[in-house]
Amino acid sequence: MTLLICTASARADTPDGALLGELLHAIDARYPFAFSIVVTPEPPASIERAPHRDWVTLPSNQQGVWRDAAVCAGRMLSAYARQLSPVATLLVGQGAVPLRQLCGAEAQVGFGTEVIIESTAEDALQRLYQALDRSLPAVFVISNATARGDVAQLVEKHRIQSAISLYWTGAFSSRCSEVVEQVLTVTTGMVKVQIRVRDLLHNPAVVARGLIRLSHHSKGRLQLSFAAEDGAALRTGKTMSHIFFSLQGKRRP
Amino acid sequence: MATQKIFIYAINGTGMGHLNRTLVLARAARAFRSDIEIVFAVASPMFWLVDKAGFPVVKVMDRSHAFGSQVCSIDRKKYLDAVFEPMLLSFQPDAFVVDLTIDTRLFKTAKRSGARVAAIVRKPKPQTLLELALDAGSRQVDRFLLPHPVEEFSVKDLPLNLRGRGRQLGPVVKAIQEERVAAMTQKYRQGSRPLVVVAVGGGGYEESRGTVAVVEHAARETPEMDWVIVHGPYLSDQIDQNPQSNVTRLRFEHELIELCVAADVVVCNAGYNTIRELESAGTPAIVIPIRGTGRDDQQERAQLFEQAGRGLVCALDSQQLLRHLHSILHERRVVRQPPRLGVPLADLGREFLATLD
Repeated sequence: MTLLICTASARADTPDGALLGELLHAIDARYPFAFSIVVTPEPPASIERAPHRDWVTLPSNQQGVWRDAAVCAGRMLSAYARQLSPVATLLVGQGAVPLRQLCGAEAQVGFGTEVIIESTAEDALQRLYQALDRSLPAVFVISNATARGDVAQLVEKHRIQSAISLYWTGAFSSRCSEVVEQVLTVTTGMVKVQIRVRDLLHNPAVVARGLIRLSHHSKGRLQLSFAAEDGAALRTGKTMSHIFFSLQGKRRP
Repeated sequence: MATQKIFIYAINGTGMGHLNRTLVLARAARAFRSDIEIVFAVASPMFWLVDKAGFPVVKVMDRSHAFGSQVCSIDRKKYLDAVFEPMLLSFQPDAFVVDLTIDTRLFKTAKRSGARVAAIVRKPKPQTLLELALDAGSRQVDRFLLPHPVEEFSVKDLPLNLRGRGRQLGPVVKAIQEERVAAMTQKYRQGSRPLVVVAVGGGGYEESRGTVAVVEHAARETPEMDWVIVHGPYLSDQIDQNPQSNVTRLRFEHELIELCVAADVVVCNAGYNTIRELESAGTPAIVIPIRGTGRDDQQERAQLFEQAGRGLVCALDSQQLLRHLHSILHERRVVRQPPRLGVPLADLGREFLATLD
């Protein structure tokens, strides 16, 4: 799950920056598998590289080199929103609202649930939790490009019980979903899952059934292959390579 | 028309090379012509280095991030173009310099904004060079800039279809600040005890961890020496200091080249910047090349460095490291060279701008 977090300032000595710090801390604790992108024209003095977070900055008038810096920033923010398809956009502080408005004309989609946070951290967190918890149980995200190691170990490590969910992207617009029937086998180096895939945005009917198999690629990457039962609607070639892949499920007791 | 506005995109590798190299070039260009306008887009979390150097900088998403390739994979082909187009059209540079990504769509957008496209190509592995020649995006590149001396990697070494657009840039390396060498010496040297500095670039390579593990073992075996290990900003682990030990640990040292001059021996991998800086620093080095990862040939670079009498190539083996250390410190198998001080940055700046015009 990706969160897009916009703030006018991430500097710790500003009110927005201080609130952002608290929020990030809380998100880390409550949603350890969320991936957050913080967007700000004013970054903190230094940024630690964290596996669950990246930062981007926007051009600003203060830099003095951009023509129509605000428009440029808005278009960039809009581009990020389109690319990331976040489950939620968090606007931290009043200063972030104009940021969001900047891209209103550029893009009407892709921002996910929008949560404006301008109060105390405690209030903000409650609103954030309410917004996110409605639709998001524990989510475990791995990437077919970045995951390393044995698949079975991975499943065991994250104590995934049974459910697996895929976010279908690329050819299928921004947000699709599918239902996982059951995990059939978990063996060393391979997980087999029976799935039904539904395109929630465009076609609520089941568009494909089949077995999805996660195996360990020879180059150490996770490989995903799909064998459709009816072979009809899913294009397994290029489309599969664009899968935004996540394992989702309840933690084992 | 003379280049007046330059947009530099330094991708984020697993190390610091792209950022360091382009920053040196930007400083050099500004040293040659103070009125030149340069902006950066970088993916590295160390983007503040650019800000500190006085250049406007925009941090973009890091595709080398653990999840970077995943979050960008939604529409990867459009990602760069979508993010860069607003900046290119707003800044309208005369030259768009990349170190290094090859992307047809992005380059076409850069040209639409009125820029010439230049790609900085440090000597790659043969297979990577072939891929570069075959990449459709290479057709959009107006200049391939080679940051090497002619004898190491020249325009003639480029594939035929790239050669006409190749330009020799010469070595790109930070200038040594003499007064800071004294400061580093004072900070890290304790009396007559030998000082060994360990530099593993950005620290993001898995193999860099191996280098550090070997070094730590060697450090325990040599309590008579002081060790400074610069782990690199991309090392994800916490760095624990033990004030009682003979090892000082740093995540990042801004004045690494000056620290290397202050050292008796440097232990390092064979990244482009590290080797270039050691050639300038003149300090004997023990080089442990990274073999498995990266697009450049560290093994070859390390061997050339050894053949030039500047250091010794070492396997990932603490006993061999200790033997090499002994042979440098006590047998003077590699002799320290005087550091290259006062190399005029403006000369490099003139060369750089000439390649873009």
